[in-house]
Amino acid sequence: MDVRRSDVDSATTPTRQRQSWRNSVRTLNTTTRPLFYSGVLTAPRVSTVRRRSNAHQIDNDVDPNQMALLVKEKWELSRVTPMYNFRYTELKAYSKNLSAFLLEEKQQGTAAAVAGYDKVFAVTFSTISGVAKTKDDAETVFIQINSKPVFAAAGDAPKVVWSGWLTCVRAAPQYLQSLPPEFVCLPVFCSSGAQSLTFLVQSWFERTFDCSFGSLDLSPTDLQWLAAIWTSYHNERKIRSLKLKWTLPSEPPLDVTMAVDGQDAWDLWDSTHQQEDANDIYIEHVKRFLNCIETHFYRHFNIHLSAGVLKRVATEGASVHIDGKVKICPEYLPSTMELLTECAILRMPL
Amino acid sequence: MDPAVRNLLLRILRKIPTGKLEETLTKWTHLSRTQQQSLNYSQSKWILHENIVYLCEENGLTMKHVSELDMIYCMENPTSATWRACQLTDAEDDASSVELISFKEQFKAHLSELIRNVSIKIKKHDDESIWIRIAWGDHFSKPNHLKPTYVVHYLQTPYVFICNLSSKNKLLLHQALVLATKHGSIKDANLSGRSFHAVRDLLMGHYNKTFPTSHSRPLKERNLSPTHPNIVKEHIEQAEKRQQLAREAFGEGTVPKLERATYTLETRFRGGSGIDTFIDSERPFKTVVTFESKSLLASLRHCVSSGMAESPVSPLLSSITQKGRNYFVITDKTNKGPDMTTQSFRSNV
Amino acid sequence: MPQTPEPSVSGGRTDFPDENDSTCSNLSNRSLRIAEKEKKKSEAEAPLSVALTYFSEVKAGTPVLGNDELEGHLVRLERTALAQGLPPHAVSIMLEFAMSLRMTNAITSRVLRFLVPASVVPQEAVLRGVSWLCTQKLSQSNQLLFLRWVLTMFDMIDCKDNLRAIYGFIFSFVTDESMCPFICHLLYLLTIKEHVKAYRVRKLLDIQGKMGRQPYILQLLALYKVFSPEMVPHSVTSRMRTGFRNHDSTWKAPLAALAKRRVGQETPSMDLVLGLRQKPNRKKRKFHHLEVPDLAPAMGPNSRKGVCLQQLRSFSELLDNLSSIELPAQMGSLLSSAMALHYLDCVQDESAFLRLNFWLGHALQEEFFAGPVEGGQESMAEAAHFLSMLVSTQHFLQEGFSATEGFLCKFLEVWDGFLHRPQILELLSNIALVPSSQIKQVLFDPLMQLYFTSSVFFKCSVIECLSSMLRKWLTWHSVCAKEEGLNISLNNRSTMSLSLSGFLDSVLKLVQFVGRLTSAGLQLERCHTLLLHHALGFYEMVSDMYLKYSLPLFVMLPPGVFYPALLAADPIAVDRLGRIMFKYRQNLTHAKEQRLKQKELYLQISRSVYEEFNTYLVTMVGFLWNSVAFGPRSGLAINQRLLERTKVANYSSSFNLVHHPAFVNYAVDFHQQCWPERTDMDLNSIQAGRYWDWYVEYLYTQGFEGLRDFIKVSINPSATRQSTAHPLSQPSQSG
Repeated sequence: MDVRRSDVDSATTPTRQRQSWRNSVRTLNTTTRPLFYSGVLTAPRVSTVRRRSNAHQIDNDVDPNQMALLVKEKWELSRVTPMYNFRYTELKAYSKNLSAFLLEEKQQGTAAAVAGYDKVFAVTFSTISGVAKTKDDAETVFIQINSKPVFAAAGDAPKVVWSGWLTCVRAAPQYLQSLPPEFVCLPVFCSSGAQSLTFLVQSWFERTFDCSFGSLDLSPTDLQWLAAIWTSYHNERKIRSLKLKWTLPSEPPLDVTMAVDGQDAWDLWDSTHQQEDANDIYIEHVKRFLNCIETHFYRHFNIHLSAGVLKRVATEGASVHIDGKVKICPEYLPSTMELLTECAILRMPL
Repeated sequence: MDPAVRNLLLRILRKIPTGKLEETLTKWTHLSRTQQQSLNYSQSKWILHENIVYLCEENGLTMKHVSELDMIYCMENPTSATWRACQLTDAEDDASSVELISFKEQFKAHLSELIRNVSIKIKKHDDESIWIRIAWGDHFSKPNHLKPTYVVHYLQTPYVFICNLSSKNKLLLHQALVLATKHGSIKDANLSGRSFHAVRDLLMGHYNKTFPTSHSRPLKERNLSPTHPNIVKEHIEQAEKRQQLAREAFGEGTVPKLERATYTLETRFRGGSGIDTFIDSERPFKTVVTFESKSLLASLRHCVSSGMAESPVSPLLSSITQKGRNYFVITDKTNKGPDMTTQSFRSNV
Repeated sequence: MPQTPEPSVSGGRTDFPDENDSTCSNLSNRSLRIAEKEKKKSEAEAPLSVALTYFSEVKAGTPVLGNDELEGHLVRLERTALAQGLPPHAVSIMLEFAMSLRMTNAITSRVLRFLVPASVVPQEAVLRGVSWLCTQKLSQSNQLLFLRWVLTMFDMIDCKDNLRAIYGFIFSFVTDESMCPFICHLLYLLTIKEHVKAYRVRKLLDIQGKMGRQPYILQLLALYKVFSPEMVPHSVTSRMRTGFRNHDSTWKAPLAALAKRRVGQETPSMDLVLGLRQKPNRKKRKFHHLEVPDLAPAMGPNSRKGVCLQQLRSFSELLDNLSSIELPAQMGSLLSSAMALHYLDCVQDESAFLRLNFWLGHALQEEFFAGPVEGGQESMAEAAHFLSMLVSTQHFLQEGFSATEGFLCKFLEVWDGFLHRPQILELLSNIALVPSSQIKQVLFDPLMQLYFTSSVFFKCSVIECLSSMLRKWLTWHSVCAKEEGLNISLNNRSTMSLSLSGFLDSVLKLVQFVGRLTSAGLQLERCHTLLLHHALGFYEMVSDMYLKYSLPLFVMLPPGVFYPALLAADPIAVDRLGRIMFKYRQNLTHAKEQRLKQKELYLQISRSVYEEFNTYLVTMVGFLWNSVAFGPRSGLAINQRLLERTKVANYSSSFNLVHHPAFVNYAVDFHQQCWPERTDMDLNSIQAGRYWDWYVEYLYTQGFEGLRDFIKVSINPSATRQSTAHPLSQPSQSG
């Protein structure tokens, strides 16, 4: 195409109009060329400081019955891309739709083993208010699958075979605002129950809302954050011991578990940072806290724990494993979820 | 056949993997040659087991014979439960002259006195160890053969290895052992593991130990992989030194296969710089450290030889092999003091 | 059966009825021993097929007792079935044989007991089995055994549509007391909404009245109630705890053994069904994300009343309904078919594209960045297939997806240069304009690392990819740019806007980068011909940027490319170099004219560009025309000793078009044509007088058009050959 500059003035204007409007409109309206991808959505960044919410706030926000649902199980984590056309007003329709989907799959034999031949799946979608903290966050959605026998008499309690929830807590506001309004961003998905049912629920979500599920793998730094955060709540909820598990890459692999007494852990944490900013936790303090523990170990055993990977952090009420399994208690809920939300958004494909 | 016997026989057969079934049955010698040859080991397990039960019924075998089968299998493959090591102390003068027959009689007599309704079976293994299988009952019920206790003792040594012992029967067993071996008392040796051979080898030192030498160069490995003449390993001296230290601390070649080691630390905090409050205080920093692995000593040895653990090897770790135990309580006064640990520590971790 | 080779058919054709006779006579002609051997060999090779042939052909009434052949085949089949399972055609044949009761009931029972399928059960076989059931010839126990077999193997039946079609026939068996539990179970598995009819419900209630409230009837009624609650009376509901019992005890052990063996030999199938697999979650994900989702209409109560893409069958239908098509539920599904791609081309909705990019980004991320790679060749092939599909889609749409760009930026940092190389390089050439602030970090550094540590062919691929990228950028610019600068600020959400200078910056950086790559690469690879040609191709494009793509940017080719091309042993390279120099001259001249005419004052061409060009020009003319080579001003410094080793007398003044190594054979040819009688070659005689001009014309006829253009423009056609070239004069105003 030999467009010469000199001809631009005279002949091009009509040509340009004759040229398909589609082309020019497209370059204006779509997120493809000429824009390089980094301009599509605002990229999130890792935060180096986290705010610790005060304890008395926690109790008031979430209804205790619903909180009981959240803390009861051990959850497996996944991350979700933003969902398209998810409406909070249509939760009932979604429940019906999902149970019809499950029934169809059961007919094909995929979900039969879970419930048995004479039971039907009943799905409930509900929202749990109080988990989301800022005005940009979407409300948490809780899904429960009961299996009840086909002939249910009055006294029959439906048995819960699967439960899961989608949440978003204090996600980076620039990211949320750069999404178009039809998208609902609930990047963390927790599930507990049969693997086959999890798979089916995820497929249903993928088909209905055009989102994608991936596994949320944590990094050792995230676990260190959680160890520090949970220890810092010692005044609100006393921990008896803080258990940390490393895996060293020897042949065969060696697991080292350190269970630090709760009070001692709190004292150590307290001494790693100055008293003024008791509400802000900085990454340096976290690193120092863990470093002290590792050094104490080193002084006794002469083994460098940094050669291994921190895989699990646990207290009585809560535990987290680097493969993406977590169990939380009410006091730790907001800060833990905030960290997980940040992890999920960092791993978004766009 | 008595349903209890049949039940036990089926349980035992299910426990034994098909590969080992043939040789175990041969050792058992209660099925005739032709009967054994009539069994088809490639059939499904269920059918095979039914056939074996049928043959046993034909031969009219009883609980005694079936428990013998259990014992034979356990003697060959002692990895089904956790073995605990105990040590006999305060030997009397004639303790070293106790020999097999007197031990058998004494033990059976004492234990039967202490508790009625107990079924004891004693066998001597090829390597001079005595295996005892005990099925406990009490005043009202017959011996329960589904959960037997196994005890292994090496005569003339103070070591006893016990597995599957419940706490209510412990005192009785200890009492019987002490009396039968002419010792004063018995105490826990702080060593336990799943593999009997590992526990025994560690405690009795039956593995390849390397002793510190003044030779700086260890023996060359037998199978050096051929390397290019242009490749020079910079740190070969340090690597060899580390290897030597690793071998001295944890043994050479195949080492006993322990699964875990537990340390309860109540020492002063030694965590690091600038933690003022902690360094000044005298309060101990309490932690419990557990090492777990498929083969603990091999892992530790690899850690030392690859540099993950610094040399010199920490005395806490080398005491596993030197003292032959894997439960420790460490306090500041006497570092690695061999305190008497109680059972409660084990339940914590 | 022994297959003796047929005599060749020519002329006298053996009639088919005589076939047996000919076989028999052949048999009698040969020795029996050989025939037996052949029979044994064929049987050993395909015992299963022999047995199956037997069972498909055996007639009713064949004696059973003492029939060794039958026994042998049965044992063989039994062994195969219990060890590996029977293939589908074997299952059909054996089921047909068993159900048609060609031999006794005992044989049928035995066959049914070992009928364990390896993979699938063809539904035709089951259909025929049910039809044989209708003939009521089988014994009671065999009928029940067959029904239990169908229930056990139900999940393995490949398609159940035909079975659903004969629902009524199966239903008719429900009156039989002994078959009722199994029939009810089978109906439970087959029922769909259309099957629930009032008369069927009535019949079931009748039976219930006769036989009492049996659990299986209640189950079936419950299922009917789920589909159409109004047909089933309320009184049916009660406390029901038990479901259908499992009837698979006979086949449980072999099926379990088979399943265990199957898990051992992992053969992932290529049909990525959304069904359940007995594999851990990770594996499911892996197979799941590369699968393009099916086209499905969007769910939701207020889905627009549009036409669903699935219903359209041809392109003309697409055109007719273009305005009323609604977007599918999963945007990724638009990548599945060509027609859907056409539709994707017309989509304007931004959030639709965002959805597509999310799905695509997620798929690429899961495949290449998540966790360790399991599965060897199959998963690699899948990934390659996916990437090829992506490449062709982008090619079709003539643009790239932002998700691809994001993926490539992350992937380039960890790429080893081997994995899916053609697809990755193709995708790379499609990325949109990278802002010059990021281009070094994102594109140049990783490529540089890979470039310098790989083979010459990879280097050529990289140069080709970058040329392609440049071409696409230039084409986009010339088509889509607005007149006064490019101020494309997209919707108010994004903050990127691009100006002409920004664009020029990026292009300049790219051209300079390729220049450095090619120079260094040619040095490393000792002026490899292929690499040289790729470099020359790139500069052919660069030299014409102003005239062809209307981009006012002038970058000369680096000396690292110029001199190897000039002194190449390949005449095509020299020719291309001539063309490049010609284009440069054209572009520069035109630009200068425009500036002088005060037309485009923003055109700033720096002095150094002219200087470079002039140097090259002088050198090139010197080397080719003037025999002034290897001088101090030629821009090329070659060691004297090296030149002396060439053993060419007077090297500095004898290098020209005749003696150039690339053109020597043409010179020889010409010499032959001019002086065919001369026996000793004296190429210098070509340099004299008119012969030189004729020689140059001769070269033109051999197709060296680049040289021709260059020489015509740059060299003054005066009488003496010592004329100098016409360098370009710089413009009077300083740049």
